[in-house]
Amino acid sequence: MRRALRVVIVVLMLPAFWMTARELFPYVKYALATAHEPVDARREEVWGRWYADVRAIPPNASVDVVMANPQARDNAVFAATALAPRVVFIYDSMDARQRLQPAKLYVDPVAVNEAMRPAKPGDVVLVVQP
Amino acid sequence: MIAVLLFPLLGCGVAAALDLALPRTAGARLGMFFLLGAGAHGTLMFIGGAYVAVAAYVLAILAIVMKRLPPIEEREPVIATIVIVIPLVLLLIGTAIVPLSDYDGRATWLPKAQAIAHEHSITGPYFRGERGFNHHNHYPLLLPLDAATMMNLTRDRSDHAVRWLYVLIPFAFLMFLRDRAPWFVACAAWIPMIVVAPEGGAMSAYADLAVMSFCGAAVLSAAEGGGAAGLWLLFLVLTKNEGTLLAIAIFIAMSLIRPSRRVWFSSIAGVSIGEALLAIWRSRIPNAYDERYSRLIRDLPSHLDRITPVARAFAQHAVEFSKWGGFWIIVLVAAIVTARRNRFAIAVIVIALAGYVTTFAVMNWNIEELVNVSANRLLLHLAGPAMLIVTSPIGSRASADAASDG
Repeated sequence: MRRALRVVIVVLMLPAFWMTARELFPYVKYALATAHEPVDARREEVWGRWYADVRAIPPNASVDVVMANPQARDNAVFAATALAPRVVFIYDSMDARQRLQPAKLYVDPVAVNEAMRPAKPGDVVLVVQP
Repeated sequence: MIAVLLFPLLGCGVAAALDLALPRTAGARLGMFFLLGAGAHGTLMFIGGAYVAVAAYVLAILAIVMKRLPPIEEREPVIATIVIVIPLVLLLIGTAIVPLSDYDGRATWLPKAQAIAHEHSITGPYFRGERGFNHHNHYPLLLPLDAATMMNLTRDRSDHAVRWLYVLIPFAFLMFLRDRAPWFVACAAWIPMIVVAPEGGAMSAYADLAVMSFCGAAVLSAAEGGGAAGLWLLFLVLTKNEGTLLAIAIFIAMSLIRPSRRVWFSSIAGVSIGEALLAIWRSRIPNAYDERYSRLIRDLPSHLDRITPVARAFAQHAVEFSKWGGFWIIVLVAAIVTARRNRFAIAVIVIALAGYVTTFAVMNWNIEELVNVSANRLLLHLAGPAMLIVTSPIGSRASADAASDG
């Protein structure tokens, strides 16, 4: 009885093996194929071209990340986190930057949606595309 | 390499100092020590920072030297271990090379770790909002504190310094469970949602697999009457907001099995300490994109009609073979067959699921959108207790006895 139960369980888990193998092996293959590249090149390849712009920003500069349009939201968030530990504020337009009004990135009716406000504009402006 | 050894060292010291019941094989012990160490390290850093953590490591070494651990009693289940280790090794290779590409890991959890590593504080300029973009400011910090330590030890504040941590935590839990039903745990080590899910799996830097591990360990420890239940619950509360809901579910379910006073006391102490630590810390930093749970409770009566579609959506995700294989179907059948023996773990899952479904129903988001984004991750939290339900009827007789509610 116990043996039959085990067979049924293994059969039910077979799709899990298959799906994981189907994702995991190409992932490792890709990793090994790109292992010789410098880490920044790998990041640019996976994260997008904005990462090249991030790398060009001086380490001590404060940065205003401005979304080219609303679709650039995710890239703006990723650019902001890649710029750490610099001071980084995200704006949804150049006009909002003039007003020092950071973007409200997530509007959830049952959450606090406040973005912290800066005291002054950043040293560098980085416009991020979708 | 030193960083990888730190957590098992601390975990071993904690187990020795507290005389915790240990698994019978070396592999399962190593899994337990790693998990215990990862939880204890983050907690100690949260309480008192690096000095407290260093003192704890010294005490851990003393405990290991002065107290002899009981000898290994059983041989390793070799084939099951190989099946478990294959995805682990592949993930370690992949994540060491491919940059992190999930959303919350990059936008929420790693920035917190980077800020702590840079500022050596959990109330520094980043958490006060002075460094600009920061969201979910009140999220618990156990994993970011672990990750920050690794970043400082390796002098690398990028994602590469910590990816292994997110891979090893779930695999440590699987090794901890392994001896209960080696071949089933070997199957579980290939569940896509655990291994390859881009949002929430071991390839990402989310906290959900740590929640799964600590929740599973807490349920196992409470069921076995072990004194470690309180520690696991403390780690659970400090890992993610959902940890509080899971801890409440475990408390309610504990009334079904009437555990010893030792388990009750340690559990209440663990959760109380965790909640107090979070409350004190949160009072010192502002909100930023943080949920207001009091409003969710206030709005509940007007959203009751959404409970049925949310519950249906959760069920649909649970039987998604591309994410879970037949895992939840197996759990359901095992729960029915062993309902009496596993009433504690079953009750934890049912109560926690009820909590999650209600929370989703109250949120004003589009149900389908919300469930698509997070249902599988919430199911992941319950996969730990669910594995206990399955391993008790099909594992060895000894493990079945240990798993039962007594």
